[in-house]
Amino acid sequence: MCDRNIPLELEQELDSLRREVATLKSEKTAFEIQQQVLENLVENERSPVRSEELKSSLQTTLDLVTALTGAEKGSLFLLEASGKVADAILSRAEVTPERKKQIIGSVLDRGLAGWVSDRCEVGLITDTERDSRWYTFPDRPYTVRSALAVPIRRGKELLGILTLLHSQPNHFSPEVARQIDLTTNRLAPVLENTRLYYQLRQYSSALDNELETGRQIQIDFLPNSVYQVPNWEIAASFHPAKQVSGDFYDTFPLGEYVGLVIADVCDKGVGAAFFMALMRSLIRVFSGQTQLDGLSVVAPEDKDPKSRAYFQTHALQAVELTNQYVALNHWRLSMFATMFFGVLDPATGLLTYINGGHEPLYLVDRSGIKQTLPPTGPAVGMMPDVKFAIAQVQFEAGDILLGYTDGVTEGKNSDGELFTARRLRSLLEMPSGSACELLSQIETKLFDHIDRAPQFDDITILAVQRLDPRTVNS
Amino acid sequence: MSFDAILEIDRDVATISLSGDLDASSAPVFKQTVESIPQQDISKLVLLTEDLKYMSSAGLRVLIFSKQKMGSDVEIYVVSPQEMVLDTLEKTGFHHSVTIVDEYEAVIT
Repeated sequence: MCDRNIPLELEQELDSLRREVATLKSEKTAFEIQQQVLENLVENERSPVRSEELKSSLQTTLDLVTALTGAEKGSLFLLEASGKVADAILSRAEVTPERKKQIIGSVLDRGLAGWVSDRCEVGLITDTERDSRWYTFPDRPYTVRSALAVPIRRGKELLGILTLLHSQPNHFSPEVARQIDLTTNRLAPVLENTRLYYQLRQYSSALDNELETGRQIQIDFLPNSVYQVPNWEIAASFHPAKQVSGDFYDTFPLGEYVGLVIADVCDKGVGAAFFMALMRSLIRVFSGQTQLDGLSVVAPEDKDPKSRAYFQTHALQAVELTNQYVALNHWRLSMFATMFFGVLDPATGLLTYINGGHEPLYLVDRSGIKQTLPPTGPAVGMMPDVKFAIAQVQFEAGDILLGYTDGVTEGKNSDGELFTARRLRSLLEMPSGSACELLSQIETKLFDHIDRAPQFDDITILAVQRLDPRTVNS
Repeated sequence: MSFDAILEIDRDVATISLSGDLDASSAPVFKQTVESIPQQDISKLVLLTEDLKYMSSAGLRVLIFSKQKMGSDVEIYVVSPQEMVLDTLEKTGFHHSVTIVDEYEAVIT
C-alpha cells in the first residue's frame, strides 16, 4: 500500500541500497571470518611447532570458520602426498569415531570431497537434493542440504580439504565460499608442517621398531641366565643407555672351568651393538677353539696344576685371536673394545685372566679391596700383532671379584658430576655379604647419584664370589 | 661442556687445539677436522689437549682413526693431557701408539 505513494526512482534507489547493504553485510561477515582466522594463524605461527599444538591450531581454525559461517558441522581432512587421508579434524562430531577410523588411510574419491580432491577447486552445493556431486554415506544420520568444500593447496599440491555443512539449503553464498577459499589457504603452511610431522612420526616409529628388534637380538646375545657353579655366586646387571648398547658381559662353561667376560665396545648405539655381537661370539668360539686344535676343552684327567694352568692360558688366546681378527678385518672402522676375559677354576679358586684395556677389576673381602686387576694389555681390536700379558689372582673363601664398565664411574648427575672411581672404591671398602648384595648396593648408590639426569653411557656390572663353605653349610 | 677443534698447519706440522668434552656427540667434529688435514708433507700431528676436559671411547676411536689415516710415518703427539684424558689413554693402552709430552716446545725441538 505504502509503495504506491513512493515514486519509482525512490523505490529503485531503495532496492539498490538494500542490495548494497546485503553485499556490505556479506562482505563484513567474510571480513570478520578472515580477520579472526588470520589472527588465529598469526598466533600459531609464533608458537613452537609441536604436533599437539599443530592439531589444536587446526581445530581452533576449523571451529572459528564453522562458527563464523554459521555452519552446523565442519571437518578438515589432512591428506598425504599419495592423496590418502592422514588425519581428520572434526567440528562437533560431523563424523562418528568409527567413520573417522574408516576414512583415515582411504582416498577421497566419492562425493563432494572426491570432486574437490579431483579438481582442486572450491565445491559449493546450495542444495544437495539438486546436486549430483553430493553423496550420502549410508551411516550418516545428519541431513545435509548445503555444503561447501574448500581445497587447501600449496602450489599444485593438495594438502587438505575443509568441508562445512548446513541442514538448510542456500546457506553458503558464493562470496563466503570465495572468502573461505582465500583465507584457508593461509592454513597451507600449518598443514604442511603437520604433514611433515606425520612423516617424521612414521619414520620414527619404523626406526623404533627396527631398534626394538635389534634390542631383542642383543638381549639374546647376553646369557639367558647367569651361569652358576656350586660354591660360587655369579651376579650381573646390564643397563643400556640407548635401546642397543656396546657393553656386554658373558658367563659360560669351559669344561670344568668358567669363562667370565665384561667388555665395553667403543662408542654407543647400533655400531657398538654390532661389534658387541661380533666380539662376544669370537671370544666364545676362540676360547673353545682349543678343542679344534686338538686340545680338549675338558680338563685333563690328571690333576697336575700345570696342566690346568695350561688349559686356562690356551682359552685366553681368544683375546689375542679376537684382537687380530678385528684389527685386520675391521681396521677401517677404528672400532675396539675394552675387555676383561677370565678363566676361573672353580675347584681351586684360581682366576687366570687378560685385562685388555678395561677398567680395573677389584677383588674384595670383608675388610675391603685386597687386590686390583689393572689392564695387562691394550684394548682389543685397536692394533694388530699385540701381545696380551696373562695374570692370575687367587680367590679365598668369601672373596668377591667386581668388574664394571665406565658407565658406572662416569655416571653423571644433572650438574654434570661424575660418580667417580673413588666413590666406587669407597663402596667396596664396606663389607658386603654376597655378590648380589654388593651389586645391588652399587646400583642403588649409582642411580641415586644419576637421579633424573639422562643416562649417558651403558652400565654393566659383574660380581663373582667364592662362597665360604662355612656360610654355605650353615 | 661444548667441544671445539681448531686446526692449524705450519709447514709439516698439523696442530689441532681440542677443548671441552670429546664424547659420542662431538667425536664427528674431531673426525672431520682430522679428515681435512692434507696428507702430503705432514710429518707431525700435534693434539693440544690442555683444555680437553673429557674424552670418551668415541673420542679415542677418532684418535685411532687419525693414526690410521696419517700413516705410520706421521708421529702423533698429545700435549698436556688432563688427568682423566691421560687415564683413558693409559688404561686402553693407546699411550703406546702416541707420544705424550708436557710442553708443545718438546714437539718442535
